[in-house]
Amino acid sequence: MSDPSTTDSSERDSLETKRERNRRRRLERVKRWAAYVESTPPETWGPQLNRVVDAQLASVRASQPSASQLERVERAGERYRLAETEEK
Amino acid sequence: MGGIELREDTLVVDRPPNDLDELALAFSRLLSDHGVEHVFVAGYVAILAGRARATQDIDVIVERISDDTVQSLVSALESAGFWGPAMPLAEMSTMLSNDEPIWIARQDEVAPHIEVKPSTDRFDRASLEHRIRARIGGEELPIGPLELQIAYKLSLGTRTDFEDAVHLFTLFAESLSTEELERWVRALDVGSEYDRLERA
Repeated sequence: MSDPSTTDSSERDSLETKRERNRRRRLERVKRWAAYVESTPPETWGPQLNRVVDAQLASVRASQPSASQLERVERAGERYRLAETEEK
Repeated sequence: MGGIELREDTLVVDRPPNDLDELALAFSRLLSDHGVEHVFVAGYVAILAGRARATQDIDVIVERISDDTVQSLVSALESAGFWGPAMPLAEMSTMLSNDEPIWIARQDEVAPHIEVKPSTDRFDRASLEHRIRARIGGEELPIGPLELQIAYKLSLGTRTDFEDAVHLFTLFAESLSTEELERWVRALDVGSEYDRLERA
């Protein structure tokens, strides 16, 4: 809950400070990871990187409609458009 | 230690290939079999070079391709189990000649996909002309020169792009050509972003 005595501009400043802090933290993480890659054997960091990449793709594959489902939706849409055109 | 090294014109990546790498390698083999000059660029290059982030697409720039070559390539892609998730592969020739990208993925998948982009400006042409090799899993891929990749990432301006630039800049600080990097920074007019990168 925000303090009712704060002004809009001080809220904006606070948000801006928070964003800047998050940005700095993200950049620190990127640099820390690069340093880790530089100083660690690939047998250690490689599988970790591959898990990030492969796990996200596995999640997308599991959650998105399959290509054949998309094709069926597209064909149904086409049939609907044709039927509408014929009615007119 | 490390397992990622830039040796002259070769980026040696000593980790097993992941799903993205396997797709890029398979597609690159087909393009090479058809004599199509190509270069992998953008986020995929950062990930290949050790950036731990996810993506669903791999950008590849191709030179101008004749209609005959495109037809032959499309047949080879279909035989190898690829399809066009955004539009049929048969449209490839039209799309590329209109300077539009086309998506290619493994049959019945939407992600990951390759976004094939025709070379349309001097930065694309420079990526093709000055491409280097990346070696992973005993195979090779052509990738854009890292100095141009960093400057181009700065020009795109999103948080992810800036972080990709920070990763490449941090990891290859010792092996990048500062002169080349600054030349691309000037060409892309990203001086202030470069200052931010140096201060990051």
